[in-house]
Amino acid sequence: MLLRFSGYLPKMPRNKTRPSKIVKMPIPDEIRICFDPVRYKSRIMVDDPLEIGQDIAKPYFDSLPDMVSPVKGVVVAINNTLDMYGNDAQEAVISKIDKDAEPDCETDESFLKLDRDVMFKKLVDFGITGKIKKSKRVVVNCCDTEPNLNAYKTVLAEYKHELPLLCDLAKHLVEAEEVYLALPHDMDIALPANVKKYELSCTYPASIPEVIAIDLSGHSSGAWVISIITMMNILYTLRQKMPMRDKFVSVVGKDGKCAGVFDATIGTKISDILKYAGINYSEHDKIVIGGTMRGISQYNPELGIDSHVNGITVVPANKNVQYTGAQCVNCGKCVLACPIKLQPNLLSRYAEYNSLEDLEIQGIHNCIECGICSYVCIARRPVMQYIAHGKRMIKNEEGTK
Amino acid sequence: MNTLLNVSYPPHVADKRVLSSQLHQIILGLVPAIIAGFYVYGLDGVKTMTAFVFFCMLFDGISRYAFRKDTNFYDGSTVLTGVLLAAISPAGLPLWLVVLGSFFAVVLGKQLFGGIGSAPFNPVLIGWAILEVSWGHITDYDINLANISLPFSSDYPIAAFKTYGQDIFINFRYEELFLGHQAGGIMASQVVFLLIGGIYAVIRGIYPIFIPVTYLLGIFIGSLILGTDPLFHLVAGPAVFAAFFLATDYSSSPNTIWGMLLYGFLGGILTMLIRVFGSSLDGAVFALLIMNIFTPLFDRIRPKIITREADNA
Repeated sequence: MLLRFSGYLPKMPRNKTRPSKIVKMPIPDEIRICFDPVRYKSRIMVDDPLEIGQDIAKPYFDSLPDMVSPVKGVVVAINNTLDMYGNDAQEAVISKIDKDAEPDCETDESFLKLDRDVMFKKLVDFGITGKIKKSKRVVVNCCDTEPNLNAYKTVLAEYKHELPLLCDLAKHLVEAEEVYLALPHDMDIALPANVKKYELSCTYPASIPEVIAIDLSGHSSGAWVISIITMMNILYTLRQKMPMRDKFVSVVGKDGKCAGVFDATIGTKISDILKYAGINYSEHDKIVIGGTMRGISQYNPELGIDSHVNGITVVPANKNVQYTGAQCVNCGKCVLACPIKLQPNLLSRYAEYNSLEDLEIQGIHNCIECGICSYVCIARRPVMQYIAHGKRMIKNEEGTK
Repeated sequence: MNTLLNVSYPPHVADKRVLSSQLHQIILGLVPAIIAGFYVYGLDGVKTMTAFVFFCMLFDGISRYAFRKDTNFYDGSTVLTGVLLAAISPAGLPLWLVVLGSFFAVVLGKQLFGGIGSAPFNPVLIGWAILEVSWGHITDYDINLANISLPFSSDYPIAAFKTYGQDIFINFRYEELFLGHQAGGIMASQVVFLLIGGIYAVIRGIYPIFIPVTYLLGIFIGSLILGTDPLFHLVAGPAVFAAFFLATDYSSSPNTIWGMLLYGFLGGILTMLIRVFGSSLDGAVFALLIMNIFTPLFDRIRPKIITREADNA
């Protein structure tokens, strides 16, 4: 409080967006779906015809959902590539798409009576989510985690009549005792019965899942925080018994303003979505999946979006922030700003000089990578980048043992 | 696929404030005090300050070249060191002491440890402490100011307090001291202008508010405990200057909230101890140097890390 008053910490980025309209994007001529060959076993060959909901790949672990085809078409190629997160992946290119094909769906309102295990089996088959651990508290997050994005708010405004059902479903999924609805402070939404309100000011990092969990339980994984978009997907999948086909993506243009929320088929190329939204990009711009604080920049706009994407941000070349390898001046802003109460100034130095033991003593594995330390750094030091590097070094070290 | 895109690890945005802008803000906050100091001490003050800034820049440039440092020379940190050194030194300090002071501050205090951010002690304190310990009879305020005609008593209040004890308080009017009508460092004696500059710096978010407030609180409580007049010690000598501009040095002050509170408070108490019992004239410089030693310890007073899972144990 005193810190905010004295202005020592800068104003954190704040989500000031308003809900917009959801625009349904037409199914594209070609979609691309990536899967990790280490975790998924391919089920398709080139020239295979695909039906809606047919498995493209099956996971080796039951914590992952199946990869299912969202369209009816033909596999024209399987390439080796890098996925959106920079991992080795196989990419199925599906073309010759029958745009009029509709899945056989039947509306079933009795899904809430299903056993939890049966429900998860369905969700895995339909490619939504893997098995989720039980938790005491569940939070349905309706406030966009990142500044500039507005997909959650838009979905909340559009589907507020579904909220009671969503909350019941979320409670059933994790067998929770308490259900919270995280609502943006500037939207007036009627609260369903038996649900607690958790008001968010939409100031980063208060709206990211880990910080909500900390606020409610004191630990960054103490509550299960799920976005309203994922909940909507789960609800529609269970109700209509059809696989997840599309995803609400909020697109932010070069001016930092939201160009709208688009209902895009999974596997639609990033470049197609940007073209449809009317956003041009040129050399040295950044295309970021997600928001500017935690999003991952893409080298290849021809990749198809997966089911985790909820926003695409274009950062123009003149707004690129250059983090340099400058030395820490020990101003302590990162220490005061860290939501986990780590000491990022020490962690970044230890990571810079490969001091892995010190990193573990300082509790690096508790870092939630919110990026606030890099944001506030007056030396423009890549603090969070160093910490992420340190985490990866520790992981590699453990892997070699 | 033909468009070359920039890629980087998140975050992709950063706050607008950078180090150089912060340091320039501090210098801006010091401007009223500088002008007041020049007004009071005249050409001697201008000469001393210019010489300090020039030699600090010179030694900084040489040592950056010698140590192959590629950090930003124009970030304002060296100018600030020079200005702060001049602030506590008396007007009319001999030039050779200016050169030595700049050398000790910049080379020994800062660059030998690895530049800004790595110095365990505030470079200004290092430079001035060496001068005062080694050539105390030359750096003495009363001797240096003897040749300069001042519109007020040219007794350095702290020295007078040391020599004559409590009886001296009736010789000084505190509002005069507060308005800067006291002998002392070129700027360190301009209490009201330093207060304005310090509050400006705190409001602009250059420093956290904790250290200056607790340092002044430490002086207040320390003087109460030691049975002297707290108001005198708050306005006399470089107390306000030390609170806002010496104690808050980035690299040598703690980072955690409790660390800062303790650092400031104990620094204030120690200043009072040195002023009352110590042989050194200026309590603030040595008290803060000693507190700088303990900064790594204060940094260990930290809140508990928020873990991922509740501890089962």
